[in-house]
Amino acid sequence: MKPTRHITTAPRGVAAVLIVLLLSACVTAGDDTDTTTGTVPDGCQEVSIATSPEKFTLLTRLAETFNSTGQEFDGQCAAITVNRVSSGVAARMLAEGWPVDGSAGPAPVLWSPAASSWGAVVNQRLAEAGQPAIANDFQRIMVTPLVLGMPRPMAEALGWPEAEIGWSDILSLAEDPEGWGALGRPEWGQFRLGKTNPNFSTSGLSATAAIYYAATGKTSGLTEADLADPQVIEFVRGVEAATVHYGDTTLTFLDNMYRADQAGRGLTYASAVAVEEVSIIAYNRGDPADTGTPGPPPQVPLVAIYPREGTLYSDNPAYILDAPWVNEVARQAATAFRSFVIDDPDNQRAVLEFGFRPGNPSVAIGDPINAANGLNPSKPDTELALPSPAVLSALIESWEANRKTARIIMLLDVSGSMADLAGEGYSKLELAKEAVLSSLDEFKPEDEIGLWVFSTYLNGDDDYLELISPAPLSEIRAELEATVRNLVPEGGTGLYDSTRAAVEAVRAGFDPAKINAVLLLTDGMCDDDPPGCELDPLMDFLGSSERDVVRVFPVAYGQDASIEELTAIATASQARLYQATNPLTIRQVFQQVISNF
Amino acid sequence: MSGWRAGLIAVVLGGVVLAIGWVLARDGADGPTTTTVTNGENADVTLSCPLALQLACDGLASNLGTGRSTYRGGVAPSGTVVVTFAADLPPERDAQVFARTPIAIAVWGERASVLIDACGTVTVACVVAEAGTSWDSLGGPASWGTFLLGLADPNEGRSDLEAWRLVAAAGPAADLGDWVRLRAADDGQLLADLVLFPSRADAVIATEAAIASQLENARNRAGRLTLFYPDPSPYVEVAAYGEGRAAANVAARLLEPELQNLLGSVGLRPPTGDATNLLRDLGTPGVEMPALAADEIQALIDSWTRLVGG
Repeated sequence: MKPTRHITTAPRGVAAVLIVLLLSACVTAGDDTDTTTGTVPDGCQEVSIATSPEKFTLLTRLAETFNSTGQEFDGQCAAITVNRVSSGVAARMLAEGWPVDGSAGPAPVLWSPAASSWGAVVNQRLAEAGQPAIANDFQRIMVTPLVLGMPRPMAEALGWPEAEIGWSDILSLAEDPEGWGALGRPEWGQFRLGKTNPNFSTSGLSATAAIYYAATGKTSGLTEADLADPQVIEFVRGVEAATVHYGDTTLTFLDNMYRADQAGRGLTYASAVAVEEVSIIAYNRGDPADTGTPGPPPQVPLVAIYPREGTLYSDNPAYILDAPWVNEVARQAATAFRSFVIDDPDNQRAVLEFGFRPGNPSVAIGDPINAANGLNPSKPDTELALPSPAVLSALIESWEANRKTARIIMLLDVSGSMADLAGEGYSKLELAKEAVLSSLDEFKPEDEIGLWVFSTYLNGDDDYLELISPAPLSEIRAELEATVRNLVPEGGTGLYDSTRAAVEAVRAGFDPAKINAVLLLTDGMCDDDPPGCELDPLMDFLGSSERDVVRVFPVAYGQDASIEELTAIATASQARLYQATNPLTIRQVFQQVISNF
Repeated sequence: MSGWRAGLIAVVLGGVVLAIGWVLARDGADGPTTTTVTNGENADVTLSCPLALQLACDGLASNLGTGRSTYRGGVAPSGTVVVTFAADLPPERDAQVFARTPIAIAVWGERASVLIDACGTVTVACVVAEAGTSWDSLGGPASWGTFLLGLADPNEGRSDLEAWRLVAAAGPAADLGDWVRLRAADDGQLLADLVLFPSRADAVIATEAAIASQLENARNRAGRLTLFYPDPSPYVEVAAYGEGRAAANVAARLLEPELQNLLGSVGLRPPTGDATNLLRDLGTPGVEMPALAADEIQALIDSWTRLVGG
């Protein structure tokens, strides 16, 4: 047997700022670690595929089968490898030049983003740079519509499945002071919406466009004038006000919802989440993060609401790139693989088993897209037209101005270990400061931000110190920047009592009209004086409020951060852990964290 | 073992990829791609057709014992019978017209009934006039949204130009483009996209052959498509030529009575006379319109550009 080269690159953070649809709005997709799978026998040509995360497992399995048949093209053997790259990240790299250092995996021959709009992004940006288009030849692997995933009892309270439910119903419910009580279910509290940040997520972008459309009553032809209409803005603000928090990936919402469900609190985290139809199936299988290893099915399953006003599809194109690095053998191999995936009905049935609607129209839609999973394969009745690039860009700007505001405390670790050199001659603290300062542009002026630091004994017996109380960024930006620049490292890591104190402070001023949260950055693990490092009391405290939840978004910074402790903190507060194992990625990771606000 | 995994292993054991003839057509790609193998009497010959003629290609290839592939333009290799719309072939090709297909209107089943009530009968004038009208004002449920049309780009092929010819003659409003939400490079792609995105258009105007190619897929995925025939109607000729002697012999057989009798069952009609064994969902076309004059073509292209866009 010939030796083979096994390719597995470690997860890494990915640049967060991306260019959306022709102009300068920023988009990345969320779960954007780069992981390449596949083996390339010696003497064979590697043919790389870059795919968006949701179909990575599927394409990896199909590539293994394809490769096992010993494919040759023009007498040259070729093997497919699959590289997971979020759509927006790949679009940026294709437009600006794929990294030659291998950090993002090999340059792709076949590219499959979540939606073909990303191909237009790449081509437009190349055109602006005077270069030819490279994303021209595509076929669709699968399609899946954006839906509102809602716990079945809540959907039934709204009249599902008979009633046609839309964004306007969501608005009515969100604005009703009685919340679910208006429908006879006061125990469910206020209506809460899970929706990703359109700067980062294709689902978030589609949902935001759908909300603006719903506000206008249009199904196409959204204009910049529509975006400025006061009634439209009022509608959008009303829906956004119901948002739990934003974020870079729908997996955060689904995972948190699943955890709450498994704890018997499935109706308390969110009332609805804007996700792709395929995600409903994954959730109801007990695998909300689509890991391939499901847990128990949820006690309360989700059902799909196809918004009455219309929705958009993710059409999952497979582009054979017209790029300089694509030679004839690679082109033939990629074309054959694409044909293998799309034209072979067995493989399209595999697509269906994963919960996508097959891209080959000759393969009928069947299980698991069925009523038992809360889905309706004959929906949606109305499809919305993707706004023009200029309008889409303006839409994102409008959303930035009208999204729910945040009230957060940044709780930064300034322990002695933050003085350690992290690379390129900078200490960890210096890199963290730079990340904080650059992230300020991601907030809007009305967002209230406070700054706390922690190590040990910073303020008498307290391990934490409030440097700036939460206040609108527009009022404190200069002070905040100066304070961050002057931070110095010293002492230990009084993690738990500092976290608890920061959450108590946010709770004390809890504002239901805002996203109330703590952003915790630390490079170590708790070393409070006993019994300060007992995790259970902190968990109980963080989980003690089901209604006015203050979420703690921890950033595990560097190699020594305690992933276990921080995951527990994130889970207990219904948030998500972010990792910057390589300190040089902290700026990008920080921007992903900020996407939640 | 899951069904899909078993299927994949079967493919591996078979040692060959048996792709059952469905490939999205693409403009500008070079040459056809074989997607089936066969052990038939003409196993060394491949019938290569555009997506619009997929059903015809499958049926004829099965009867002739040839392989079949998707024709994407360009030069076909020896052993290939190219079957496509006659007007889209270079004049130097010695192609034989063996079939034709009229332009038809396809409407999603339930919506067809509502449209009949609204218009009396479904004509091109009806669908063009009602494009952009809300379904509830037409007598349907509000959840259907707005009545939308699907059309293929007439710049790309004669069949698409003939469909646009009918629309242009119906006197479309200046905002027609707003309601042509489903647009495709050719009518084969148009119908495939309609099946993938059923709510993108309520009605499409295309060749009967292209509609016939997706009737079963539509039924399996979204619902029944009902055909209506403009009267009078343009017809589009379908021709074949073979590369190499064996392929040329197969191409010549397409005019034999046995195969001419087969045409109706695969969504085509003979060059003269009525089709026999007509596919269940097909009906009676209108009277044939005179062929387009050369000077009409540019005017039609201009009107498409003006009303729908490039």
